[in-house]
Amino acid sequence: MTNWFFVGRVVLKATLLFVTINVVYALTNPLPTVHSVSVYNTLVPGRERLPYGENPSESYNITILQVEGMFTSHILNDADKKNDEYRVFLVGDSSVWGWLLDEDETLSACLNRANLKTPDGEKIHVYNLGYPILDATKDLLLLQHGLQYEPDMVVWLVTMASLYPYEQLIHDVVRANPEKVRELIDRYNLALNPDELPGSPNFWERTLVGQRKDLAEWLRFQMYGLGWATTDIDYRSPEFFHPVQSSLYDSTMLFDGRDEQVLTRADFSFDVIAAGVDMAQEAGAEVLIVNQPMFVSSGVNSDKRYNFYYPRWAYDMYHTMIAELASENGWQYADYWDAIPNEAYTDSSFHATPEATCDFALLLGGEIQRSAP
Amino acid sequence: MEITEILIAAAVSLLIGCFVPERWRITVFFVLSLIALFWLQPPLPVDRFIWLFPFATLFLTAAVWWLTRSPENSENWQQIGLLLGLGCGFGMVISRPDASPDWLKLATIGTLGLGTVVGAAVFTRGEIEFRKQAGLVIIFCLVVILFVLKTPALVRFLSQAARFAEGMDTQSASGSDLQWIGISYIAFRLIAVLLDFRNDRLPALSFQEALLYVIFPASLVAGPIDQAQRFTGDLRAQSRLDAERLVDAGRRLTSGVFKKFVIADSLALVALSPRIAQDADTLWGAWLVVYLYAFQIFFDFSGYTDIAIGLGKLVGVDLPENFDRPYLRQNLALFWQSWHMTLTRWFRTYFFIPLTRALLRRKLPISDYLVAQLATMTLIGLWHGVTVNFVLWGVWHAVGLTIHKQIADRTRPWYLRQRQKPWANRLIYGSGVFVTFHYVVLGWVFFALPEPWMSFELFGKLFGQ
Repeated sequence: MTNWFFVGRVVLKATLLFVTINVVYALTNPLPTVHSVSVYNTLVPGRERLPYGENPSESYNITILQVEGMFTSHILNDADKKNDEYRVFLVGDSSVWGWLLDEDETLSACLNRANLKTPDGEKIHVYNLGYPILDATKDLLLLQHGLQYEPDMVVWLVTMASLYPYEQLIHDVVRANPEKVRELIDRYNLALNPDELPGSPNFWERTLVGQRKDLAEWLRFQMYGLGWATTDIDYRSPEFFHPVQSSLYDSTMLFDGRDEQVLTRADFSFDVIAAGVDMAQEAGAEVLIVNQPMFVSSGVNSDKRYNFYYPRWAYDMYHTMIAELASENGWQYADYWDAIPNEAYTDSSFHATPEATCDFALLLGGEIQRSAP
Repeated sequence: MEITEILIAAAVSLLIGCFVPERWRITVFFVLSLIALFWLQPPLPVDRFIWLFPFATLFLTAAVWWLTRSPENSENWQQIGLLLGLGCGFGMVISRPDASPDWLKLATIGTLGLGTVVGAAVFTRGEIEFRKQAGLVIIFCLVVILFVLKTPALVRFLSQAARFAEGMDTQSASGSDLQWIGISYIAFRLIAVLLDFRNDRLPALSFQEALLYVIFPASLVAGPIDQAQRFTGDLRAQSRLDAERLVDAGRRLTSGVFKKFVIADSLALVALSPRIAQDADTLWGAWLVVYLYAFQIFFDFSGYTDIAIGLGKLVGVDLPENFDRPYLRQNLALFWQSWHMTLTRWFRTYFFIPLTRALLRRKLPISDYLVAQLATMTLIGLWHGVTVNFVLWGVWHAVGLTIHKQIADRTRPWYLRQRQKPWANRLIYGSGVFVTFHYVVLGWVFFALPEPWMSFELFGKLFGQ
């Protein structure tokens, strides 16, 4: 017989259980472990690229910011390295991830289709670890986690805009993993201010209630795995986009307002690249730094700027600096800044058509073969 | 209803159940239901409709009550006054909180509404038979309203007209612009009242009771469709909330919220939709999204029903069940006795049985059962929306029900013999569930997709073409 005493006991027990679960959750921080549980690579195939979704319902994909969760969905997480495999990671921004490209049109997909081999006869298998944000620290963060998958070579595509120091710590992926980024700053003595990162979450933020959105995102991401497995779609290009801007504005300023025509190495986070090279080499991987292709305008004000992003004076200085730096440090460096013809760019100065991407992949493939031992 | 609205409704219901004395209960329900009617009305592009639709609900209900009133409840003028006053007040506050009152339009609507009620009163003071005939006119009006609101092209046209009248952009008008809160259920409850009155089965309802039956907030958005007699019985037998009822309500609410907001909403991410039907490129993928849809729609609807029943229990109203393990039924007839049970009961009572009787009186060249099933299931399809695909869905089930009846009629003696053997009984049950489930699942292909060509294209993928 149900009575009010019984109801009182139920309410009391439920409250105690609720409080206990939240306290235990906050103390044990199980979110990374939760993220390691995944339908990807078990029930459904792993994804070819890291999860990023601006339009989840159409792309069957969402943006996951926890590094562990990003990798558990990746095909790499279940790829046993074969004896004759030469494993290459492509690291970089949206041009590597494959903006406006299907998953089988990206740089890594083109390289894999080319069935390349090293001079020793090992099969080159390329994995896409790009992520659509211009931020070298983000690349370093992903590389740090990715190195446990034993790459033989890391091909790191960079451009000037990924090396602005003041933009290294502002992006969501970096801010969602503050402890890892702090560790990287400390370990490699990076010229970045760790105080700009979010502080450690307080007790409330670490509870089950405080992390309910992260858990809901994890659940959604697992469900979208079924959509991915059913459709092979992880990104849907917009039906319409503005073509890359060839008529440029009449300015020689950088985005931060500087127009002094002088830049030094301190104006770029080259130390982040150096850290990545050290980290990969410590793990036994070759590193190839690539100055990635960009749109070079020939339209209005093209005498002042190369493109929407870069005034000529600034890019020329960066261009010289990174080549000198690579030479001084003995980095394997390839400069492909003008490797893609202008007409092949799509919506920005870095995104190319599927055909141009594959043409560039062939160039890059030759570079990988030459750089492989 | 969103989860915040459900929590607010549960808290208010709990307070009513615990603290409002029984003698005040119906009056408090009455006032709160009026508030809920305006509160739950979703925002619309043309903001006039935000208060026009709830008003129209109130006036239609008033008109139906007046037509069907019993002699002992003929003088509920103070209640109608309260209704109009509150309706106007809430309509003003909710629809235009930041603007000066639009007295002219409000007065126009009020006059029209009052005119409807008074007109109904003047024309129907006379014979009961005359009121029964007038009821048919209201039923016709309700059917027309449903038809218009469930026809996307007509809604788009009306929305364009309304936008034009308001000086808004007509290009962005869409088929979902005119969401009249709960109209599918409101209309069916009103029609049930009118038909019960016509058949002398309607209990004497006060105006408050009639209005509560039609707009009871817990069942306003997604049913179930109760019967007036049963509902008012619960209303009149109000008692203070006891522990057992509270536990029952809590269990149903928890289960409903979990089914709807965790299971159904998660499944909805990848269940069958026009987009994923196009994107699915493998046979197993096509089956997967259809299976997921079958469970998504079940958990969504059954979750809402649990929430409605839980909220009802808190205030002493036992709303009827709507689902009873429908996917574990061994034939289509049993499926329809356990899926959206209150809707099928409504159609059986007010359409299928009268139609079957009428058909039996005439000798048709084809099976009268098939004709009645086709008509009933097609109407059930159209109730969900006036589109070709909903008609196809209805026809699919009508054909299935007819085939089932033919097989059942011919195999009954054999079936009764087999039932004596436990293994055969289990085998028949298992295969029956399998076949029925898949027949229903394939029917959802018509239900979930907006165009026939999309459905047939998906059938091609499902069967490997």
